[in-house]
Amino acid sequence: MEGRIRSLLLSCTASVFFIFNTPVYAVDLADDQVINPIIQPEIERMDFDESRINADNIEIVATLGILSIEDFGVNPMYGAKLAYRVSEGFFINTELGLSTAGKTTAESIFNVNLISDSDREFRYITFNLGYDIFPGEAFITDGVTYNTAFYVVAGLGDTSFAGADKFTFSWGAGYRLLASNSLAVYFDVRDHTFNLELAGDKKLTNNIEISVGFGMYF
Amino acid sequence: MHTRLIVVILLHLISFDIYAASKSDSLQQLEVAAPYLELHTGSGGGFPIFHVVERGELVKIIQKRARWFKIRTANDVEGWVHFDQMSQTIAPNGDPIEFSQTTQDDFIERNWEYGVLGGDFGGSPLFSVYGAYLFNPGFATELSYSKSIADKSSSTYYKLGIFMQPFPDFEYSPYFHLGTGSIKSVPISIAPQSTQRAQFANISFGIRKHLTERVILRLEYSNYVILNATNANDDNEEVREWKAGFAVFF
Repeated sequence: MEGRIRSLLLSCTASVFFIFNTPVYAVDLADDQVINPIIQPEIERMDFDESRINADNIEIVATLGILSIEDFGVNPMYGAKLAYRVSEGFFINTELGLSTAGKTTAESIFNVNLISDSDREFRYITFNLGYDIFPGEAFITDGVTYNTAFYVVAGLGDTSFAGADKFTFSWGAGYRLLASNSLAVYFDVRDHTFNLELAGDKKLTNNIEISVGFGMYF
Repeated sequence: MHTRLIVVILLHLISFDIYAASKSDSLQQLEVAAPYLELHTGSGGGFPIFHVVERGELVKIIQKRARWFKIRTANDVEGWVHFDQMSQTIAPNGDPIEFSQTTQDDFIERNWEYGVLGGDFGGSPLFSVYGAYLFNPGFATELSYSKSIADKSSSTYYKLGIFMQPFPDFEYSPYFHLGTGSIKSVPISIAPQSTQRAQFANISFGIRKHLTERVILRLEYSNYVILNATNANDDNEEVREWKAGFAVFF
């Protein structure tokens, strides 16, 4: 408990620091105090320093959604994504997700457990390549426009479920809305497919995830 | 608990944004030297041009994403300009400017490389993540984590190795890799079977190609010798591996 409070306090302090840590400027001198130069410089003399340019190619996204685990019902899930923008259209990313499977219909009817509670933990990590197939704009009102992109993504990775690792092929699509220079909102659909063997029956399962995400560019 | 974590992260994200906005006076300012700059509504060639900035006007750079710059004009109009046009600006003190670009030389002189590969390990699907540090363009060390999942068991292996690239400046640059590590196999079946651990050594060869910006394409074939594998004769076991994937470098 103490640890939680401490981390919360630290977070708040850090937030306040970032909000109020604005540069301080000298007070403008009154007009009569300034000696007017003969030639008014038209432009501020500033050297070129590329480090002043904020390159936003890395993105961190927190996601919340639902995951349909085949035969095990639809369950809440949460996760995270880390993306790197490779070019105007392409990006690569790593996606993580966590959920807990419910009971299968058979388990509910016959009141048995096919897998133990600890094996109901569903965790995946995938490595993906994505492409902004339809970049565009969304006109929310006459005066408010957001840049958006509909993208497709596919990759592979590992799902830990039902007591074993499953080689996972993941594919899907999403919609990204750039809410500000560095914040983005996501709507995503993924299908995580892998072979699941329960009671000696191996079959290919499709586990569909629908999520919203909030991302930040760095 | 997790909900609170997400709320705290979101608060941070918002405060970062406010902080970034407050710094606007420190933005790099440039003077347009080309006949004009075309401002697009988004960071892509397909977004329409809605504004033009003439030669001699000043613009501030807000951010850069891939090969697009978001700029603000003296009249507070904001839009996206492509790298090629932005390169034709000068510093306010009249000096010519040059934006750094990722070139083939940067690729050759890279220090760090991180990547993900997918493929086949002895007939089973495989994925692998790795990080490499290059001492010089021809010689590097690499640490990788791989997971191969077969019907009956899943194998996890860590590998530490060195690779040599005799021709770093080739477009398709070949390399040789020698590594060693530890492999852990966990049976998937419900029947009780023990986890097996073994050491291995491997030799690999492959090809790297600099694709674009900071991205590398990598193809590799490896031959593993798993020492004293737990099989009928406790013999060494040979496994072949193919993989392909992408990496980014810095």
